[in-house]
Amino acid sequence: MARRMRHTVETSAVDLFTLIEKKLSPANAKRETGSDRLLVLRVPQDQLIASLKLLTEEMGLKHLSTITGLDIGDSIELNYQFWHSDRIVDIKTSVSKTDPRIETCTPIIPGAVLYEMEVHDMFGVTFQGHPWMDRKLLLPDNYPKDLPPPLLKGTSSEKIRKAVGIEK
Amino acid sequence: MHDTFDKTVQDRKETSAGLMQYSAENLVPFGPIHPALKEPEYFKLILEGERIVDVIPRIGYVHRGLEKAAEQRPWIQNIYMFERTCGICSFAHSTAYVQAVEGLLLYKLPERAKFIRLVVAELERIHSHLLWIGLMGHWAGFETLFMWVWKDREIVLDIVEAIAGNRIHKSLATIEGVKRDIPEPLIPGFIERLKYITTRVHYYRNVVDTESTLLIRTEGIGKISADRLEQLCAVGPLVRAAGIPRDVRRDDPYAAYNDVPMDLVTKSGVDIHTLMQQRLDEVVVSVNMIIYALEHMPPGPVKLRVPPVVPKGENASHVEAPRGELFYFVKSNGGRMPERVKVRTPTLANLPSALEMLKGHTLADVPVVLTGIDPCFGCMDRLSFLDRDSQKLWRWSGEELRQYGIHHYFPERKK
Repeated sequence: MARRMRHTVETSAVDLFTLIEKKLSPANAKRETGSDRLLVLRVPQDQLIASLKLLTEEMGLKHLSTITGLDIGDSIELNYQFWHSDRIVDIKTSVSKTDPRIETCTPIIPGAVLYEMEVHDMFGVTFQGHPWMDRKLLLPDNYPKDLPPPLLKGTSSEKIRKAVGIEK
Repeated sequence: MHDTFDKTVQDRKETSAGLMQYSAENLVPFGPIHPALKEPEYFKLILEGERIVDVIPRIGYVHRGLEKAAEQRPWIQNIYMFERTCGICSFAHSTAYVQAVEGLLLYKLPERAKFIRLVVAELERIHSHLLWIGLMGHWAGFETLFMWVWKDREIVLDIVEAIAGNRIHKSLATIEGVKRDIPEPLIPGFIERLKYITTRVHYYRNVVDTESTLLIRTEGIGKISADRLEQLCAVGPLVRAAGIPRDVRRDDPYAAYNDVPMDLVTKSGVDIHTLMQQRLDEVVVSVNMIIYALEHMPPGPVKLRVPPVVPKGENASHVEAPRGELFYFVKSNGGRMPERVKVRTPTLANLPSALEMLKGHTLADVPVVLTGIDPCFGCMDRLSFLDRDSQKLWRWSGEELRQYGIHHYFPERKK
């Protein structure tokens, strides 16, 4: 059996990350934290779809691992996390909590269809243009309409348990 | 997938009229829950006669709110909670979680702990793949394969029990290490038993390639192209069987995967038959990796002492679970509990592909194709059928559906 060492990639971590940063600089992308294996870029909400298109079509980042929602106080942060050989590229954008709406990325990345539904269920973000936004994926059908989505910091576990009838 | 989403059931009915002998469109609710099986999911199958034209998923029947619960528990307690996300790949979950946390702590993980993590992760892969091969035998009407494979799977579970004290929930991974060492005197016995598994797997590989009962049910069933799998962001043995060399163990090595030789198994096109070959071949590779790791295990401690608080920051981590890439994201505010933990399991990533694979096949192929992606699928026992034209409603148990599938392919067998 041939001894297989660490998979070599043509561009070093720094090169790939600088390249992505350069590519997305017209979209006002700003590099945040990150290491040599994790790149975190923040893009404005209106530039998100254009940035994802650049990444998938020109940079060859085809595999979207997931979309992570985060409640950061006054807004909801969406993390589009890509896996490319030995790196993870995290594209961050924010949507307001009062009107959480953003365009869907499913025409560019069909594999994001369930990830967007999950964020819709858990954070109440509406992905405009997503065909299944009227359905639930993970939450029970009896989840009360007046109760905020479960993963927002303002929604306590006690409230959810009471609302769905697990606890009195 | 997109083009089929917005078409209503009614549209389909019009387009399909007259094409089939049975143009009546049936809606078959598939699922959602059975306590004896692994993960309940619910699929609405839209049928034209026997053919499946569309599938609508609804999951979440065992959504227990672990991500919310994690925000109210200390870092250490969360390891054991996330381990219980899955009853098969429990170690993959705890490893992915502790790796994400370790990325924020910036200690150096002991070398011996890395090797132990690899050994247990690969044992888990063998037991998961063998379990799956057995289930495929069961759903395809080849009960003997099911019994034999599950008997051999016991060997792996015994080894896991000797290492971790438990068969399934190992509770072995901890932040910056593992909780137990592998005792040196046990290693020769492990290697001997693992070699026996290799001989068994070679035998099963021969069975899978030659046994006509299996070939009829699996060859050409559940086809999907590599391009489509790439678009749908599929993971694990499914993409490797399509010829895409994507594996976290090779591409982004964690634990001791950098130090242990590994052959990446790929095939040239997906159907259920190649998926069986793919998983059996991966078992052989895993056995070789475990034996190499056990023979080359470095001495030293297996665990570091770490403070119960984690510095502020965000980190993402992924591992190659038996079913594919398992992704964890962790955010810390510098406190005793996480600010946010996000889990993305491989089954969720593979679900859109499974829905595509079902289209065009018959109802009799549903159990085999859905089991094909190894979905922790648990809903065969509760399904009802509605004939839209006559409004006739009837119910079948999972066993009745299985019998129906067997009878469809082998009419000479007694129902």
